[in-house]
Amino acid sequence: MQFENLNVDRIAVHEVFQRNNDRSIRPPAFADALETLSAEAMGAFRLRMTDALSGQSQSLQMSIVRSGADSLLQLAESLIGASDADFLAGTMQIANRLTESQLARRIPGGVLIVFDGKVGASSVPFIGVIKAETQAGFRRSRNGETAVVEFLKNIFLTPATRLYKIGLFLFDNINTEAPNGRRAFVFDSNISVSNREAAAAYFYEGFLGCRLPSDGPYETARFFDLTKEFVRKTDLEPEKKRDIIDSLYVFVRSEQDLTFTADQFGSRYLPPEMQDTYANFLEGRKFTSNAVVRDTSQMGNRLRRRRLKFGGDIELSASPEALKDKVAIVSIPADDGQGATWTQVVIRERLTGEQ
Amino acid sequence: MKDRETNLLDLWHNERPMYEAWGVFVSDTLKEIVSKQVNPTEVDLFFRLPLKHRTKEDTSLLAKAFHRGKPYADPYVDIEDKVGVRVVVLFSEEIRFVERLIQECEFWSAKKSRDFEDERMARPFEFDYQALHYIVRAKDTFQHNSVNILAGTPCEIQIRTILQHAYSELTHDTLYKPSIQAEPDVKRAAAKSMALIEATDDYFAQVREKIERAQAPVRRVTEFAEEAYRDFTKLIPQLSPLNTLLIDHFSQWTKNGFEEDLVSFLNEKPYLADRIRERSSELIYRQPAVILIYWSIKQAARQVPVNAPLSNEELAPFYSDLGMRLPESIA
Repeated sequence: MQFENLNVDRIAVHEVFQRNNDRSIRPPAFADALETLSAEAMGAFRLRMTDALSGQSQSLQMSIVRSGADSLLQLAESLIGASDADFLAGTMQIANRLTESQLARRIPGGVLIVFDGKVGASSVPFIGVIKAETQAGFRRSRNGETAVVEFLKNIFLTPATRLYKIGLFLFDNINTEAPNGRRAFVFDSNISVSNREAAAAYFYEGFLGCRLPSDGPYETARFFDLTKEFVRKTDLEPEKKRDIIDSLYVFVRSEQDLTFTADQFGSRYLPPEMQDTYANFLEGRKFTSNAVVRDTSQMGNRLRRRRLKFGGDIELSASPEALKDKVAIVSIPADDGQGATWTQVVIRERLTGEQ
Repeated sequence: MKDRETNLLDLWHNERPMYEAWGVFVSDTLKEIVSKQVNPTEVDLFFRLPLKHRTKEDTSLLAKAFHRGKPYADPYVDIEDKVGVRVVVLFSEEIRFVERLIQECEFWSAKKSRDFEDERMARPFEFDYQALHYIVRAKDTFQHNSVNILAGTPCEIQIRTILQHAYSELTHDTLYKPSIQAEPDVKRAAAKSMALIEATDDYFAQVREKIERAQAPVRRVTEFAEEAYRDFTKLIPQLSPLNTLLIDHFSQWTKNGFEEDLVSFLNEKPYLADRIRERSSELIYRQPAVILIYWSIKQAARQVPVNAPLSNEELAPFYSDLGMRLPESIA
C-alpha cells in the first residue's frame, strides 16, 4: 500500500498523560475545537505520514482482531461523515480509550491526534490516530534588531520517528461485515524489536485492537524466492550473484528484527543502479512494499542447505554459514586452452566421509 | 550666394531632427520584430551591442560629400547613410536571419548596398572589411514622436558579427589613409586578422551546431514538459534557469517515447496537479520540470536523489505526494 493522494480533512488534537503514581488514570485534556492547519503545515503533516507509513520495516498492515460493537474500529467508523461536533466528541472518546490502554505507568504522555480524510488513487476514506510524544528544543528568531533564542517545550511530530506511533483504519467497503472491507496499518518504531512484549503492543493490540499479520511465513518465503529469481536474471558476474544470494540467506534468517522490508534488502545488498529495477520487479509481482513479519518456520530445509552446481553433474552442498566461513570459491582461467573458466574450491576442512 | 558646404549644412540642420526620428523608428522597429522571432531569448541578448541609431556629424558629412574623391551628382541626396543603425550578432547565420526580417518589414522598402558574401565571391583572395549593408526608406510619409518623416527618407543598417565588428573597430577606416596605403605590412597584418576571423566564424558555427545537436533531446523534453505542465496544472509556468537545471538532471529518466507514458501517469494521478497548485508560490512548482520530478521518482525512486540539483528537503514533498519516502541511504 502506497499512501499517495493523502488528503487530510479534519484534525483534532488532545493531550494524554502518564498515569498517576498509583497507576490511576489521569484524564486527557481535550481540545475545544478542530485544528486548522496552514497549507505549509498540512504539507509537513502529510510528509510525516508518508515518511512513516511508506516502506519502513516498522510500518505494516495488521490483522484486525476486535471489530465488535465497542471496538475502536467501530468507534472510528462512526466518525466517517459525522458532523464536526460529533467528530470532535468521538475523538475525545478515542483519547479516553488511549489512556485506558496505557496500562503501564512507564508509558509516557503526549498528544493524540485524530484525523480523517481520504487516501489512495481511489480515495478510500480513513480515520487516523497518532500518539506523539513531545520534545523540547530551541528556536532562534529575530525580535526587531536582536536575535532571540527561545526554549520551546511540548513540540511534537518532529522528524524523530521514534517519538510517534500511527494507526490508520481504511474503510474500503463498509457495507460488508467488519472486519471485512476494512484495513489497518500501523507505524511504530518499536514494532520490529523482536521482544514481543516491547512497548509497542499496548498501542496496536490494547488500543487499536489489532495483531501482527499471520501471513509472515508465506510472505517471507515468497520474498526469498522472488529475490533469488531476480538475482539470477540479472547480468551480474556469477561471483557477485553468489555473494548476494549468500546475503539473502543470512538476511532472511536474521534473528535481530521481527519485521523486514524488501527495500531494506535491496538498499543493503544490491548495487545502487539495480535497486530501482528490483523494487519495480517486486511491484510487478505484487509483493508488498510494506513490512513483512519475518518467519522462516515454513521454509524448512531450503534455508538449512545450500547447493551449488558446477557444470552438468558436480554439486556442493553446505549450510549457508559453512559456505560463508569455510569455503572459498574463485573462478580461474581454464588450462585447456579453450578459453572457458574453471572453478577453484578451497574447503577449510578435511574430507570426512563420502556417500 | 552661399558656398556649397553652407548649403549642404543648412539643409542638413533643417532635416536632421527628421533623420533622428527615422533612426529611432528603425531601431525600435528592428528590436520589436527581432524580439518576436527570438522569444523566449531576450532580444537584448541577441544583439551583442545595444541597438542605437546615429546621425552623421557635420564634419564627417562634409568630408564624405566633397573630400573623398567621390563624384556625387547631388551629395545630400546620394549620401544614404546620414542616419545609420548597426546590428551586431554572434553568428554569421544570424546576419541572414536579420536580413530576412529587414526585407519583410512593411514600413520600409529595403535595398541591399553591400554584401560581404558577394564580395567574397568577387574577390576570393582578399580579406577585408565584411558586413551586410541595407538602405531602408520610409514607404509613406508619417509622424513619429510628433516629427514628420517624409516618404523615401533613407537609413543605413549595417549588420555584422561581433568578430567582424572587432575587425572594423581595429582598422576603423585608417586602412584607407594614404600613409597606411603605403605600408604593405600593415595591410598584410590586417588581412591576416580578417582571414583568421573568417576561419573563427566557421569554427563558431561548428561549435554552435554541435551544442545544438547535443541539446536537441533536452530541448524536446523541455518543450514537452512545458506543454504537459500547462495542460495538467492549468497554470502559466514561470520559466527560470532552475527549469533548465532540473530538466538537465531529470531528463535522464525520459526514455524514447516516454511522453505517452508520462501523460497517462499524470492522468492517473490528477491530485498531483492540486499539490503543484497548492505550492505554486514556490518557484520550483512554477517550473514545468516538476512533472518530470514526479515521473523520475516513479521510475527510479532510489536513484533520483543521487547528485540531484535539489536538497533532500526540497525532494521530500515530491516523494510524499506519491505516498513514498525519500530513500534512507541518501537522507
